[in-house]
Amino acid sequence: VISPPRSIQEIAALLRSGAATAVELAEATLERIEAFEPALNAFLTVTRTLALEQAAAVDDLLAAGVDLGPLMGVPIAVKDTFATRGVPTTGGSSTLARYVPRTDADVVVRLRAAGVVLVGKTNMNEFGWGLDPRLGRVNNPLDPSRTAGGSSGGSAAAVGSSNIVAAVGTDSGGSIRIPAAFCAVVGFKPSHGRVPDSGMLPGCWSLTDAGPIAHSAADAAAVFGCLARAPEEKQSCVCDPPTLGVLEDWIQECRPEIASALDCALTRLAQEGWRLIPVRLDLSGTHAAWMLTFLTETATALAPFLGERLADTSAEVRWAVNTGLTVPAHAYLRAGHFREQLRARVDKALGDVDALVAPTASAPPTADEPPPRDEAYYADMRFTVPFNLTGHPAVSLPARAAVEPAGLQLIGRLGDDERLLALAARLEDTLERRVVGAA
Amino acid sequence: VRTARKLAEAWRLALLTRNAASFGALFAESAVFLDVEHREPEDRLRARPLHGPIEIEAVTRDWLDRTPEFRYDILRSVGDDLVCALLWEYELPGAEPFTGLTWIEAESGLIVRAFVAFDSLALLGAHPAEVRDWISELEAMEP
Repeated sequence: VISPPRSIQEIAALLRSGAATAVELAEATLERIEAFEPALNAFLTVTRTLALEQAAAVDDLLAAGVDLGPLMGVPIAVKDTFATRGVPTTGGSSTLARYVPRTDADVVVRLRAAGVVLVGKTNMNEFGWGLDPRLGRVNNPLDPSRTAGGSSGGSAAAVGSSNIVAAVGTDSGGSIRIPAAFCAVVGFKPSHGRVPDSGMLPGCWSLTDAGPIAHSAADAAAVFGCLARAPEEKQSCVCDPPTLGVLEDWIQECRPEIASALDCALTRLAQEGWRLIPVRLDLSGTHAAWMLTFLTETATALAPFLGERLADTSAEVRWAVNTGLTVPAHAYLRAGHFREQLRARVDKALGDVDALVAPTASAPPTADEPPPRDEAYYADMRFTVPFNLTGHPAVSLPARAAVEPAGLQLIGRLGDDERLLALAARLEDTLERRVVGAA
Repeated sequence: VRTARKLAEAWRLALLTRNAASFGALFAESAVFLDVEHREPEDRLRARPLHGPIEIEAVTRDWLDRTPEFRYDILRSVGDDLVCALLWEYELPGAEPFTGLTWIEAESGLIVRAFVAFDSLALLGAHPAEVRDWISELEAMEP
């Protein structure tokens, strides 16, 4: 029996040392997924046959001396919004239960080329917004009575349960970062446009980006390196000591257990010499601009795609599409103008610091998830949405000392994704070192 | 057996209580329902008659999902057991009220034909309450 590997690096070492074959790793992963599924509901499709074929091919290549790089032979799952050749792609909706794409999404093409072993398609909110009761919600691996969050909840739960070391999700308003925070793993939303979006099911195009969920920033960086286009400019190194702009008033708005976990992490960073500068960013208007943009684009993309199948979707999806179709052009454009202004304000806040630091979600995961129209639902997203509006890269890291799962969000400069992930890895090291030292 | 006028009252009640199932159940299997707002999704210039209770319920549910609370009053009705004509007034919050006409034909206590006519352009200025609130919020932030 192979114990679950905790990192991509560990898998690479197992494969290249001959301690395990890719087929053995894939079989062990598939067995764990099968054992955990009744409790988690993290997968909509488990691609057993495909995974074992891909793993056998990896073993053949390694035996022939061909090395495709760090992701070769790594079992990975993708959110069920990415088209996969010959594998059902539902978008979390049973209305698409029979949809089997003939081609792969760009993200899947890149993963296949890197020698990844695709073990399945992960559960998600219906088209990123509703919940299809026929498919059910994803349960949290830390406490299955609670939600894993959404909409990439299946990807986060699959990683959080340690069944796989990494998965790919998408984020339009926090859909990678919030479930990552709820499941105590790392979730990265790249700069808008860094990861190709071809082959994703239709949705809000200007807010959505695909990105990795993993156990560490280093693993997130490895998966991002496979998914992303090359950066437009060479990125500078992280300053020493790093400087963070802290959105203190956002932290104060959080539930006490979240705020204290973040305060504890920031105190440790300060003790280790990190420079922390208070910054402010007004959230006024972000809810309105996000809703007008999200609903308009979702409706524009989904209504012709679904046609009469819209009637079979959940009430939340029908509401989103039908409301989006009523948004007048001037309101959508006004939201776009607001986004430009917000982008300039975030750029200014980032001016003298390496990254901004903020909460991911203001509260821990709950047993019942409110419907998306509910204000309580948006409350979870209010610290993640601003960076979908502006396109800045943002990564959620677990605040390790937390009693409840708490996400610490770092926001970097547009296009500086690799630098942000390097900073996140350094932050993880600093917090881990302190925890070990304290123990 | 419900008369056409009773069916018209049940129609109003089903819509005000936002009960699409009750609304669909008013129609016979062979019923045809034509409303000026029902258009083909791919061609808004073409009318889309609805047939039978299942389709009528589905379209009504979809309409209720995207429609905020509304006022719908019958101003006057004329008719007999088998047919009924209604003059009604409809109002969405934030929009001017408008009037319209509905024609109902009944057989065996169910609607077999219904026509709804009104100035559907009057709906263009009306948005769901949430959309109006979001627009107002952004407008208030502009210099």
